[in-house]
Parts: sequence; C-alpha cells; structure tokens
Amino acid sequence: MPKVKKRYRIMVFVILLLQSLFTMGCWDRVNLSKRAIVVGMGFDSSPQEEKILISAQIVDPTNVRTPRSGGGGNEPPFWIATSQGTTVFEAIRTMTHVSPRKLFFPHNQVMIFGEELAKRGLKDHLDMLMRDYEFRETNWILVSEGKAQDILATETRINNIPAFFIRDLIIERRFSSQFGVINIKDLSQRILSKSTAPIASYIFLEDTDEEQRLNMSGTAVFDRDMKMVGILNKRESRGLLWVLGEVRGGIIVVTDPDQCTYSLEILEATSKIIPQNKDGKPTITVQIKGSSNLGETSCTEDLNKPEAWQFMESLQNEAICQEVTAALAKAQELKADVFGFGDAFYKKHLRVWRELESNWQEIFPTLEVNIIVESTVKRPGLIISNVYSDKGE
Amino acid sequence: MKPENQTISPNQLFYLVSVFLLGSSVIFLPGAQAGSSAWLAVGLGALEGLIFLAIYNALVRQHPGKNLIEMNELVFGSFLGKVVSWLYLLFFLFVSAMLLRTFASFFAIIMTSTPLMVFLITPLVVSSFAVRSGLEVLARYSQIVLMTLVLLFCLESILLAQDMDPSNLLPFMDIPISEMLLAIQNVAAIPFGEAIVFLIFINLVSAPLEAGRFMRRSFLFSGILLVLYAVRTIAVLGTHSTISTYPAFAAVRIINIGEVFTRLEILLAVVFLSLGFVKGSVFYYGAVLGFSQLLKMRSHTPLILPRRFTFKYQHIAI
Repeated sequence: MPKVKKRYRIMVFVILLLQSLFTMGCWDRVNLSKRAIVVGMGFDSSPQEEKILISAQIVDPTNVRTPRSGGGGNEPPFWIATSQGTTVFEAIRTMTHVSPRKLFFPHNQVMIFGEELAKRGLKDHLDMLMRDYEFRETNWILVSEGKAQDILATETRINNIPAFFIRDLIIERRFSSQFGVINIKDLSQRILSKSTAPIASYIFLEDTDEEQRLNMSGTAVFDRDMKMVGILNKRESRGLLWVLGEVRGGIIVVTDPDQCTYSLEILEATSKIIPQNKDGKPTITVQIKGSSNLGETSCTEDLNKPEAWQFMESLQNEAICQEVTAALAKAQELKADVFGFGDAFYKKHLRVWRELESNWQEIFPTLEVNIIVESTVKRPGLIISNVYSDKGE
Repeated sequence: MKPENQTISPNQLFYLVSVFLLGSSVIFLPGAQAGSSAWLAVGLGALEGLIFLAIYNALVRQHPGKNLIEMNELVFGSFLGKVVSWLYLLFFLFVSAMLLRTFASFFAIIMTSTPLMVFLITPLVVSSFAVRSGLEVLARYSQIVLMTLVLLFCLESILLAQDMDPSNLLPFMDIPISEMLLAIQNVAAIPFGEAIVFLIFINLVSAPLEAGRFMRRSFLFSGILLVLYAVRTIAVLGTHSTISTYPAFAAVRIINIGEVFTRLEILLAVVFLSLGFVKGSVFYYGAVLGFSQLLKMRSHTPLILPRRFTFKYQHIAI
C-alpha cells in the first residue's frame, strides 16, 4: 500500500509541474514594451461635421530625459497620435492604424475638449470616458481655447510632458484658486443633478515674445445640454469657488481710500448655502467664512492697533463679496446654475423643490441671493508696520 | 473525520453567516434604486431580515434536531415535502450559479479577451474542493476573511475621508414610498433572506439551539457593515452611484492620496472574490448535502463532481 501511495504522490507532483507550462499567464497580459501609455487626451471637432478628432499624448520613452543620463536628444518626450471617428471609441481604436502599440489609458491625467467642440456640445462624447474600465474617474476635464491638439503639442518647461504639466497646474491651484476644476466623477454628478450646470477648467495658449506657453485660468460653463455657453474669468471663477467652499488659497488685493494696497493671503475658507422659501419666494443665503494673513502692504500707517486690522477685515469682506457677486451676475446672465443652488433646495427643501423644479431655468436668473462674508486677517508676518511707516516720527 | 460528521461551533457559525451575508454585496450598493437613501433601505432591509431569522428560529425550536429537508417532510407530508425540498435545492443551485456568474462578469469587465470559462471554472474547482473539505473548513476560512474585510474597510474609509461629501446623503427619502419598500424588499431578500440555506446545516452546529442567537448577531453585524458601506459609497459618489455598475468598487477607485495611494480598488476586488467564494460554496454545499439526503445517500461527496459539471452549463444558460 505505501508504495502505491508514493507513486500517486509523484504523479500528482508531475501533473502540477506540467500544468505550470500551460497556465503561465492570462490572456489579457500585455507587456509594458507593447503598450503606448497615454497621459493626456484631446477632443476636437473635425472638419467632417459628424466626426470627432481625437489626439492622444503618448509618452515616448526613448526621449524622456532623466537628470542622470542628461541626453535623450532634442525631440520632445511625447508623441501626439490623432485619429478620427464617428464615436470616441471608434476613433480610439482607429488609432491602431497610426500607432504601432495599442493605447493604454489608466495613466491618463487630463482630457481636454476644444472650444469649438465644447460649444457644439459634449453630450455624445462622455459616455465612453465613464464606461471604460481603463479611464479613471479622477481624470481632469478641461476646455481649451482653440484646438485641444495644440495644447497637448505645446512644449513645456520643468515638466516636459504637457499632460503632467497641466496636472501640476491643477494641483498648484491651491495658491491662486482662480479656476474651477472638475474630474469625471464630479462632472457626472453635476450632469445627474437636476439643475446644476457643468463646469470645466479653461486653458489657453499664451503668446509671449519668447515662447508660446500654457495658461490655465478661468472656468468654462456649460448648459444642461452640455454645450459650452460662456467663460468665468479669474475673478468670477474665484467667486464661484468661494460659494462652493473650494477656495484653498490665493491673494486678495484690497485698496483703501488712500490708494494703499493690501495683499491678503487666504488661509482657509468654508461656505454654507442656505436655501429659504420666504412667502413662496425662493431665496438663497450664502455664508462664507475665511481667514487670511497680511502678506504685503503699501500702507504706511501704524498697523500696531486693532482698528487697522478691523479695517483690513472689512475691506476683505467687501472684496470677497464683490467676487461672489461678479460670479453670480455672470452665471445668472448665462442662465447656468454653476453653484448648485437648485440642488440645495432639492437636498434641504424637497417639497419646495418639487414646485421649482419644472421652471428652475427661469427662476435662477432672477434668484435673490444674500451673501454674508465673515473673514478675519490673522497674522502680520515678520514685520508689523511697513518700513516706510511714519511710526517713529 | 468525514466531512458530514464535522460540526462547527456557534461562534464559527457567526463568522460563516456574516461572510455569507456580506458576500456578493460588497462591490455593489444594495438598495441602489433608493438613490441617496439607499443606506436607509439597507438598514431597514437588515431589520426585515431579522424577522425572517425569527421564523427560522421558531422552526428550529419546533423541530429540534431536524434540518430543512426533514422539516419539509414533517410539515408537508412525505411526497409534497420532497417536492418543496427539491424546489429549495434547485433555488440554492440557481443562486450558486448566479453568484459565480456575477464573479465572472465582474472580472470579464477588466480582462476582456480572457474567456469567461476561465473565471467560471477556477472558482468552481476551488469551491468544490471546499465543499469536499466540509463546513468547518469554510467556517475557519471565513474567520480570516472577515477580519481582513473589516481591516480593509477601515483603511479604505480613512483614505476616502477627504473625498466624502455628507451632503450627498441628502435629500432624505426623495423617492415614492412604494419604491422605497421595493428597495427594502430587495435588500431583505438578497442577502438576508438567502440565509435560509443555513437551515440545511443546522444539525452541523454543535449547539443548534444556540445557533439563532449567534445568527442574529451576524445579521446585525453585517447589516451595520453594509449600511456603513452604503453611506461611504453614496458620500463619495453621490448621484454617480445610481449609474455605476459596481458602486462600492467605483468609490474605492476615487482614492488618490498624492498620486501615491491610488488604484487600491484591487483590494476590494480581492475581498469580493474571497467573500463571494464563501457564499457560493455555502449554497453549493447546501444543495449537494440536501440532494444526498433526499436520495438517501450515505455521503454527499459523490455528488460534488457531477454537480460541478452541470454547473458549467447552468452558468452558460444564465
């Protein structure tokens, strides 16, 4: 008996060894060397009306310069592949006609839509970006002045892959807060809401004497049909972010009656949208709380007294309020509820919302909005009064 | 010891039932049709599940020492009882096949060119091995898996904290009450109602009368955990969860801490795999055990392999 058992064991062992020959990996394995890693995508309208032009920024590993090797030639470390198709997915797969490797999207960072396409409407082009497993919900959505393809083809410094460059611009927004940002998940939420208008960051090519460079500022605004209807400038964009509670930092420059300027650096900000229904008239109250540090001033007065700081705070409140008012005026002009005021009613006053729902598009442009700003200026930095102050005299 | 003579302690039953209940629900959002109130539907569904459990308990108490098959015969008579038992067993087989199919489809979304068969057969082989080894093996396995699940849940939740927006949980109850009731029913039926399969195993628990208490504990435990899962998913995804195929999975995909902690969704996929496996195996085991009893066989093991092959065709049919 033990002998039989031993033979049995050896047989199992051999079978196990043999099967490892046949089950080496899965069907879907693709080696890194067979992949074209896409980091940025551009969507443009095509000369042929019904088609869409897609450009994919593919990292070209042979030209990526590393500090150690120093070399890599003068070619840019990326390649833009373009193709056309009736649908997004068709265009993407058509790219295999021009790209020897199949595109690989999980490392994609940004999706840029050309303004022309954005104005025509993006409704039909978003589905695949949410449905396909390879795209991530955290991809940033942008709208470009001109063609998205040109944005992706711009040579950038410091980070010489434009898609990463743009992603870093988005991360560094916390020092200015002057453009809105949106990723696929948030865009989906805005579209799925019953009233909120979708937004996207706005990027354009800026011509300076030496070079063309990317500049990201402002926010593109869409209507409920996902057609771009307008742009919020820097100031209005920050007004929008104040309401959304997404201001992370930035400089507020205020001027006092004597034409002295104060640059106040925002430390933090929170907001609260309170929907109310006063005698059948819907109103919104926006409460904004913020704090800042004094970063720079040309004021030569003695700042070592509390009144000076209270004065700064009142100027700051006024400035924030003006930014919000500007954003509100623009949004109401565009008839686009970028703030989610409709959603605020939907979430907190469901019954009121049921009455407003059908004609919210008419109500929003004339909606009464109260803005309450409470902000503080906290610390003066290393000096209290300006060096030219008349303190000692 | 022969598998059918194995017994599990009530404590092990707790782990087994908890894992069974969480089973396939961790990547989905149960009660998703309730929109932003899905978490409420989950909670109320769990409470409704407790009513089912009370019925099971009453049955066990009224027919001590009998399992589902024997109860059926006692209640419905010899012939009708067998018919009812057959229906139950077919239901178990059906659910088990459905579960494996859910698995396979989930992985097929990611690996498109791999044949579905691979994802069907692999878990099935492991599953039949588990059924051969007996309930205790599954119960001990559940113990490890459940702890891993709780640990990973905490980890993911911490990493997701910055992406959560509590206002996504509003408005409260914006759907008609009838739809809410439907959502509650769905949750109560799957997974809580499915726990009837444990009536087959009731004699394998060392203290059958204690079993009810421990099962209630696991109903509450997994009910609370599913509510937390739902709250997390809705807080992260908001309305996006209503169009998502695998909402809880999609929520974890959002994790991005400084471009370092990203792509952690595979953790949830692994949890789903290891939990769903238990659920599938429990149904598989229940069906095989029931059939062997109906056919008056001495052991259930000879039925495992034939079952495996019929499964294969059942999957394709579904």
